[in-house]
Amino acid sequence: MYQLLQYVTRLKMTSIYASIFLVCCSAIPVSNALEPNNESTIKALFIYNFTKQIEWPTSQLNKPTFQICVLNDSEIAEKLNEIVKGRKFSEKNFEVKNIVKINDAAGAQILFIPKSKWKKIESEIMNLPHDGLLIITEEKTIPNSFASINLIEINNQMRFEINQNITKKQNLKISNSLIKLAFNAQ
Amino acid sequence: MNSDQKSAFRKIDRKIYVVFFLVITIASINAFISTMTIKKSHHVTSDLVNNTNPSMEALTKFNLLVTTSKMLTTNWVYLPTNSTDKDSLRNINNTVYIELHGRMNGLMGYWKDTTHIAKMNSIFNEYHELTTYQTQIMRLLSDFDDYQDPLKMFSAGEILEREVIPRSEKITEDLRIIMEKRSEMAAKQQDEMLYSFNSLMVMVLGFAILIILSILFLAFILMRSFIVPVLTVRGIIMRMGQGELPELKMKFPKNAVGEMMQALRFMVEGFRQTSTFAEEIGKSNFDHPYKPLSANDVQGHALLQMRNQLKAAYEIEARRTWLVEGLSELNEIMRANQEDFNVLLDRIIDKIVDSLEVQQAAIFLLHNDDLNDLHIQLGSYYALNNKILNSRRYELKEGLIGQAIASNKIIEMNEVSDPYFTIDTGMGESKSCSIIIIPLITSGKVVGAIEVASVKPFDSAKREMLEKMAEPIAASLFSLRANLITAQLLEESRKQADELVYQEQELRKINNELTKQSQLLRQSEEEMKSQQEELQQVNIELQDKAQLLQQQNVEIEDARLSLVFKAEQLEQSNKYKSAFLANMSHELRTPLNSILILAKLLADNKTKNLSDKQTEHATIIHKSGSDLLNLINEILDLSKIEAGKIEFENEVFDLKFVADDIRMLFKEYAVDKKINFEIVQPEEAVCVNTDKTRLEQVVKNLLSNAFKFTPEEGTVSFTIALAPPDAIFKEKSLLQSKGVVSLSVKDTGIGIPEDKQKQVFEAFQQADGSTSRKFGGTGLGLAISRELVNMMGGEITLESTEGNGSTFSIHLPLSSQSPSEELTNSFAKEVQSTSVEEKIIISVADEDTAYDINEIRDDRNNIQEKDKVILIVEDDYVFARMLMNQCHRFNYKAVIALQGDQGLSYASKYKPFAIILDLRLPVIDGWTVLKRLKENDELKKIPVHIISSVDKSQLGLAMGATSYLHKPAGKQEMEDLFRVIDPIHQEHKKLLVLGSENNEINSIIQKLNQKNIEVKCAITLDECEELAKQNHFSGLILTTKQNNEDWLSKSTNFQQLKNIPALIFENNSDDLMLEIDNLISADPIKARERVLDAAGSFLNEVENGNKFSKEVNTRMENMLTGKTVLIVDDDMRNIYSLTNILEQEQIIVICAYDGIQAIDRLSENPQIDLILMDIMMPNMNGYEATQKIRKNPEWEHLPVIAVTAKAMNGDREKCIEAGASDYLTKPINADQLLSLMKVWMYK
Repeated sequence: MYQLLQYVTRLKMTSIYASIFLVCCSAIPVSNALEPNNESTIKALFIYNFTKQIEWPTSQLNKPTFQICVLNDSEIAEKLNEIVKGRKFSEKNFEVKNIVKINDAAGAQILFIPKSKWKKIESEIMNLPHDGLLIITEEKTIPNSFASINLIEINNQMRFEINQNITKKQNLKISNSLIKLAFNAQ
Repeated sequence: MNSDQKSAFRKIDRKIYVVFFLVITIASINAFISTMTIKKSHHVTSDLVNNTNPSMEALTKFNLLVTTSKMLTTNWVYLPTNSTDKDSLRNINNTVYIELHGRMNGLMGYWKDTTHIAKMNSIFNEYHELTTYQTQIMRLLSDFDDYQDPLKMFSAGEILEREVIPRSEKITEDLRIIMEKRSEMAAKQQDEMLYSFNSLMVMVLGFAILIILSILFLAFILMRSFIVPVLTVRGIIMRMGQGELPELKMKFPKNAVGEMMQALRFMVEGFRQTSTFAEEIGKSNFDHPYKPLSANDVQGHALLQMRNQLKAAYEIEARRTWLVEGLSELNEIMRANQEDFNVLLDRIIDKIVDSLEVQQAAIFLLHNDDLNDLHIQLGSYYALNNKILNSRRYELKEGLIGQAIASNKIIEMNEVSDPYFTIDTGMGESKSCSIIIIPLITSGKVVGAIEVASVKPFDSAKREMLEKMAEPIAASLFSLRANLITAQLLEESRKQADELVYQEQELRKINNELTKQSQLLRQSEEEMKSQQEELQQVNIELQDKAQLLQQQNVEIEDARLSLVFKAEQLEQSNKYKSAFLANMSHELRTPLNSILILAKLLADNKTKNLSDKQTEHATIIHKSGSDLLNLINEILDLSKIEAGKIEFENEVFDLKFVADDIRMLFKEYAVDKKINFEIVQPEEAVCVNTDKTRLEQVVKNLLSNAFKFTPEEGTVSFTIALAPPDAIFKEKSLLQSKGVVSLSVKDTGIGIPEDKQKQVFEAFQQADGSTSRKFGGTGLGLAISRELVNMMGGEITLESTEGNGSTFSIHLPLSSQSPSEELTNSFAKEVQSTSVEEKIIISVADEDTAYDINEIRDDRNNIQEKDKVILIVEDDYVFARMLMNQCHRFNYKAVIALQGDQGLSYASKYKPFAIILDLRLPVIDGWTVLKRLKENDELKKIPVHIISSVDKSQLGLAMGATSYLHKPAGKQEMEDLFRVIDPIHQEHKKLLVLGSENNEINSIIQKLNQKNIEVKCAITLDECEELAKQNHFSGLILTTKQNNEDWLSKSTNFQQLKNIPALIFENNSDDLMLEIDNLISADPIKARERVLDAAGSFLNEVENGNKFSKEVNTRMENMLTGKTVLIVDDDMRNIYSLTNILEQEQIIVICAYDGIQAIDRLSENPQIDLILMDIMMPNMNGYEATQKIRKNPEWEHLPVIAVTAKAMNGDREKCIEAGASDYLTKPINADQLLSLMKVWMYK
């Protein structure tokens, strides 16, 4: 019963997502080809929108492209690619990579670690250069180290948490409006 | 007018028409083009106004709307709480845009460019899409929770960023392009309009210039062809009007005016001919050719007729004249030739030939001497031939000549032919033509006949001439012939007789003249002798007189030298006397000072340690000292009078005032002494011109003597009466005066024996040596009185019988003026009427002021009865004039006095409305003037306003001044002063009275109303506060004790009332009035100080022992306690006595023995409050010391009272000049000294 309810709730949630997506579709002409009720699309949308609300250190901006790495989730990477297509970040083209190894994320501005992958790579991630690297996780609670933003589903809505200590360490400046929008900003 | 002229005129007329046509054509073209241009401009303008500008406006609004919509959509996404913006966005999309769209569609209907319309339509479509996206955002973020959802926020942001903003910008850009294009179009339209306007302006200007040029050309033509010729014609006609006939030499224009000028020329020519003709007629030239201009020339024909008539008249006149002249010449010839008969006949023949122009003539005379031989004989002839000459004798009726004489008829023959008669000339002979024989008849007797022959026939004129000549010729010939013979005989005999008589007369005349001349010679010889004798006598007398004169000169020189010597001696002795008097005064007063002070102290017996006897002794000592002082004063007075140094202030006054003063003075005294005192005075006014004070002094002296010598129950009377006309006086002025008044003092006392009566008027003389011992007195009073009365131009007499009393009479000349007349006279007149001594004094006094009294220009001569006069007593004439100008501004008349004494004299003379007084004045200083004014009953009511650089306002007010102004005074202060002087100029003052009405309050209100002060009453303090809010009050009067307490406890609660000075009224309304006066006469801020100052004005009353409030009394009494006073005096006795007085008042005394020590003491003791300064001291005298003290700024205001025994003239002025605050003479009156010290130490 509970599962049924959960399912129904899930359906309801997806229907809401679907409506938002429709909105997005109308907003993004290129997204006409995307399928509805796709959670990946929403996540990609979140990730893209984070780029608008965060200021990267100059060292990161000197690079030829703005690199977004997705750890082993081709669907999200694909959605992201669709969203950033034709858009620019500070006159620079976006570059979306679906990586398998953490080390491939070296030199990227954003690293998205999909659900339940954090624990596996936590030790590896220490080897990455952290300055100017925004690490987005998808855990139940935001990890204490390295992760600046954590996507979390609350009441069937996609929300996010911010660890401001980490962002400071990583020389990232998050806008107040994003902080206000966050479910939890430590 | 010929055809050429006509064509010429047409040419000119055509020119004028062409120019007129040109002007009208140009103006019409101008008007047409202007209208067209303006019409076009109107189209463009209306398009701009109705379409272009509103379109631009609407486009701008649309652009603004898009921008606003974009901004509001952004705000919608990022400012969740801003509900106003959300409402605005909804309003824009639902209302504003729809209205604007409708308006734009309307305006686009006028647009001609279809591409713009298409573009606008695409913009509207774009905006529709934009609103769709805006709606999506509005739906996404419809409530607050939506803003918490990141997804919705991100989506809305995405729509805003991807759709709304780019679309808005695109629309804005498109609108901008359209607006630019429309603006370009509008600018182009404006340029076109401007261009057409400029063109129009240039064209109008061009046309205007063309029109002006055409008009100028026209004017030129008119000027040349018409106006100038017409003006010329006018000039010519005007000259003709004055009788001139000018030449017309100018070129005539070819038009009507030219024709007119031509006609004028003809006219002038005609006039000229006529005038020439008239001129010739005037010259009697009747044959001058003249032809009338035409058959219609009325003037010409009239002239011709006139010529003919004149000619005829002239001929008649010529003939008559010829006749008359001929006859008169004949008569003249006959009158001139009455001696010789033959000559007469010849002259007559000549005249006949000349006049009648005949060739032959002869006079035949009838000889009738002998009746038996009557015959005719040729008398005279002209150009007769021998044939006739040979037969000179004719008988009666012989020939035509004999016949003409015999028949008394004229015989005339014409055209007589040869051989009867010929006229011979030298070269041949002529046939005669006509003969006339005319008999010469007179008184019916024929004398002869004249025969004349002429080659021409005789006309009527000649014949008439001959006939008229005949009678006078006959008469003349007859009378001459008859008289000649008898006259000749008579004349010869007369001549002989006359000659005899004449010779006898001549002889007699010569004889007489010789006799007269011999008599005259004898007489002159005698006179010469007597004159010579007289001259010799005169010469001798002259020699005697010259010797006498020389002797007299020597005597005079001696006398002069002795006089100079005596004058020097006198001057020297006078100096000695003055020095003696001054020194005596000083030397006597100094010891007297101590005697009097110490005796007074002893007599007062304040310590109560003296017996009554001792006190009595002390009193006697004091009294004796006082008597001695009086004696000294009287001696000084007498010496002053004798030296002529006494000052007289003459004025014209009625003696009844003297009587009144005397009555007042002696009434009580008489009652005390139980003596009957009577005053007898006439009812009518008796006026004298003299010094009233001096006169009163004399009367008082006489009266006090009378009272002194009259026993109880006796009678003393004072009588003013006119002296009888037969009274005998010694004084010249009394003898010369129109009338004399006698002031008699009669007593029933002891009387004066006759032998002593003369002595009593001498100094130190009384009737009896013992008198002074019995009755007291110095014996100087009558001497002084006599001198004073003498100086007044009067005399004093005494009638007395021993034991029956005495009568002293003062006789004074009556004044010819009444006091009112005298008042109107100038001061200069007064100077003239005063004594010589006074003049000297005035001139000496005036040296200080450098202004002559005559130079003072004030209103003294211009005072009317109703005028308010202000007396200005001020030594600075410039400042006085300034004050006078202020007086005039406030409608007062002003009288200026430059000296203190003048001020006093003028005060009593003019009775001014107010007095403005300076303190530092020559002769008498301001303090004294003020004091004397306040002592005088008549003058003390006059308000005195002090203006001075001396900083002693409290003292001034205390002495009775109404106000005190410090120099230099500004304009505002001066105006304030005049407002204080006259309440009319004061602002309307208001007072507030707290308390219920009762009689006392009503009387106060009445008094205040009389002073033009408005009064408001209130029962409670609250009411007072209310009234004070509405009105400005100068003061508040608390009428009850309860009010007073309420006031003291609550006044701070009332905002308005607490600023109003309050007065507490107890019982005496007079005191209150005084304080109110002080309150309202001053600045409200200083009101409290003024009330305090007013207390000072009672100082005099305090001194006089009048009752005053206890508080002030105590304050005055204790004022001197603990003060420090420096006494500077070289006389130990004085220091001692002064110290005693002061120490009784618990004053700390410091002493110094000369000026140098005084300054040292002063430096050592800065606490010194006052200095008593002696003047005559060794080392450094009082003047010098005072001057040095004043030079130190610390001691500038330290009171210095000069104390001196010198009581001579000018001492006081010297002291004040040196810087002393006040002046006291020794011996010092202790009370007076203390009072003065209080005044100067009062603060």
